[in-house]
Amino acid sequence: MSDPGKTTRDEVASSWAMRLACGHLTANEQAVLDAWLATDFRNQGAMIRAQVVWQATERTAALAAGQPEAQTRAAVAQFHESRPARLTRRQVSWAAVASMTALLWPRQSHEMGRFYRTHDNMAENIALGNGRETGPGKGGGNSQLSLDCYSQARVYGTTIELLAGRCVTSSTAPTWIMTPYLRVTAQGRLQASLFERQASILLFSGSAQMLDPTNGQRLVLRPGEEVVASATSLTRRILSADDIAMQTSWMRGVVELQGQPLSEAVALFNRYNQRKIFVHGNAGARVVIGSFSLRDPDAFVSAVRSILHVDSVATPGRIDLY
Amino acid sequence: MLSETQARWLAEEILPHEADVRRWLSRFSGIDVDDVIQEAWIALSRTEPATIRFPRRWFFKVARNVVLQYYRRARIVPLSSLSDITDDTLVDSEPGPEQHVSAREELQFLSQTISDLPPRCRAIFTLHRIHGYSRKDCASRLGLSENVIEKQMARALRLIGDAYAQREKDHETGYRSFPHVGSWQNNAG
Repeated sequence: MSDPGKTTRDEVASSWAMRLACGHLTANEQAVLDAWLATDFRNQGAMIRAQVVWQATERTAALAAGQPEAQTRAAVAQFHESRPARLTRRQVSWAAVASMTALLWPRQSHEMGRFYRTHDNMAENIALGNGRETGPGKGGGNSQLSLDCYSQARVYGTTIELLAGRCVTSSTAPTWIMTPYLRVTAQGRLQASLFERQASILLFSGSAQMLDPTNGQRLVLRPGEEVVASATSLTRRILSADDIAMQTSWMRGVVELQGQPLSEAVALFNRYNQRKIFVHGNAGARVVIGSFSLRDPDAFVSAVRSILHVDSVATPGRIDLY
Repeated sequence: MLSETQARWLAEEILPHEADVRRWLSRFSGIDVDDVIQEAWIALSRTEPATIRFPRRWFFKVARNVVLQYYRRARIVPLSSLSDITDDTLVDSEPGPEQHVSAREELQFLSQTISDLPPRCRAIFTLHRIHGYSRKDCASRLGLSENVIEKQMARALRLIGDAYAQREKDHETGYRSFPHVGSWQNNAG
């Protein structure tokens, strides 16, 4: 296996085998694969073998029986622990710009990270840092994290990694906020979101700096500014006070509806409450405007009944709207 | 491409013997073991599993016939190699009790191989293949892009493939004379 040509062939074959395992190839990809296979019969052999090896690993699912969720989390935690030592090109780029622009890189944590996950409840004001020193040459800083429902975050040292959903962080010392598409160092209060392959950062107060992954330029965010990024794009905009209030209404336990369909509003309530609301028939298309308590579905239903003149049937576990 | 039945049969009955076949091939000069193995996989992929009683023996035969083809094409063949290949000396591939592929043994091998993967690779493989997380869920959980997940899985796949190629013998296997060495097309196990 030491022959470089052989190694490359195996690498290419493994990549194609994984590509096939992950789904159907596009016509273009199939053409490229066919061309590669036709180049050398050994490529065909390597490809077949890679597929067989992939098939052989199927039996590793049996190992899951001996690895409960806690061990999975340990594997994830170990992964994160290993990340600083294995920088990708993109991470190196980030680090280089960070050093050039004198961004404060947090001290590398040697402790295991803590994983937070919420379901239909919020986790508010989680204290982070425990008064430990949080930056090079800096004194201890106080950091807090609030997680929206159905959110996941991992915290290690002064780094908060948002894995899903939405969170608000507040810190008096430089803190790293990481999402798959955005990495920000901030000192102040901000909201980070990660929904459907799109991440956003909204700075409320303080300062935040980041690197634009699309062109490598350093960005300094202003309070009230929101950055939205996906794998291929990045946009910035300044939000009005009303927009900010609306985006952060979940923190105040309030939902502000400005003409959303009832079905959409109900879905929002159902995210935060165990007692679910079900909309039937045409009622789901009716438009709702108003400000409601997120944790009080009964009050919302009562208002909807009087405003939209819909009927409701309330039982202990659910409320049906007709 | 392989059918699922073929892939499963090759994975369970053929692949575990590859390291032994490689070791056996390494005694012949004038050939590239990797080339022979890759050509053998092409022939193996065309095999109808139901016709093969002894898969290990079949793998050796296929490899042996590939070597013979190499020698037939070659202008100069070392005499010692010709002697070896025509003396019909093959690894004992009779299906004795110790030769059966043990599922537990395979699982132990895979478990050890996975534990030897680089940490990043191992975490991704564990989530995706062992715990069945989708690429998207893995990416979300580890804070990576799906593209990175796929690349790391490909890397894990190659490393596991390397481990199969270099696998140590699980049991002592002697070499013995093997009488049925005609054309491999006529000796389907």
